[in-house]
Amino acid sequence: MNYLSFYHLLQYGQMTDDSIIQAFLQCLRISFPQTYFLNTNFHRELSQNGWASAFSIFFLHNGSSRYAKKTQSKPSINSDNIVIPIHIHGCHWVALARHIIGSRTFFLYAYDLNSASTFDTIKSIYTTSTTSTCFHPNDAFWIKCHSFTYHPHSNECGS
Amino acid sequence: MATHPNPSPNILLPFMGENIAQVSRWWVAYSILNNTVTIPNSTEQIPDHIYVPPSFNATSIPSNLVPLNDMVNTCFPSLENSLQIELSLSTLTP
Repeated sequence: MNYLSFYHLLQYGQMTDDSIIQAFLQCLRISFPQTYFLNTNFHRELSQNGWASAFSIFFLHNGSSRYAKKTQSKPSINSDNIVIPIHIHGCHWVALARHIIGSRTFFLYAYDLNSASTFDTIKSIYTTSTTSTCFHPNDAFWIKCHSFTYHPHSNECGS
Repeated sequence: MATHPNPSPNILLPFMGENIAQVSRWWVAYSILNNTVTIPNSTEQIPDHIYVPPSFNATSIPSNLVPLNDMVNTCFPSLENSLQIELSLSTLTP
């Protein structure tokens, strides 16, 4: 994160930089130690290289490999609260959270443009067949959280 | 969303507001500078009954919380009708 990205954060109509999102997630991690925040690169790794690769880099797992040793501070696949920042369309951020309450796994999704096609796309990337039953059980329940689509957009995308 | 005890499609609506984009920018900046994040206690501040509007399209009225440039009006939010406003004040006032 540099001065320019922070300056843009405070400017109306400027795009919010990835480094800002990452810094904010680290602050959230300090304030909410029971909640894990996946790296902003997780979604790209999952969508481009698949679950095995994304899991090996971003989730805690045992083993003697170089990746395994680097994952000791990463979330366990069994963590109750995992926040997944998703960068889409080259400019927008979607919030996705996996929240386990009792024996039920929820996936909570929020995108201010409320696009049905984007929701379907994201859901298809995070479903059981493309991840694992540990991460996304077959009976996982998706909730599309409503938010307003404001005009003018005035949002993080810079428009 | 990740910690709400009773998640539903409407849990974000109480935090929406006509200046949420600018409030959020300042909230994120304040959090990074202070290395901590303040979030309203959901059980205390979220109303029992959430109003669900017929449409999720709305008009934004952007205004900076302190003067930055001439592109956006500058005003401090009023204390009326919004948890989003409370959020902005609680995070921006030391």
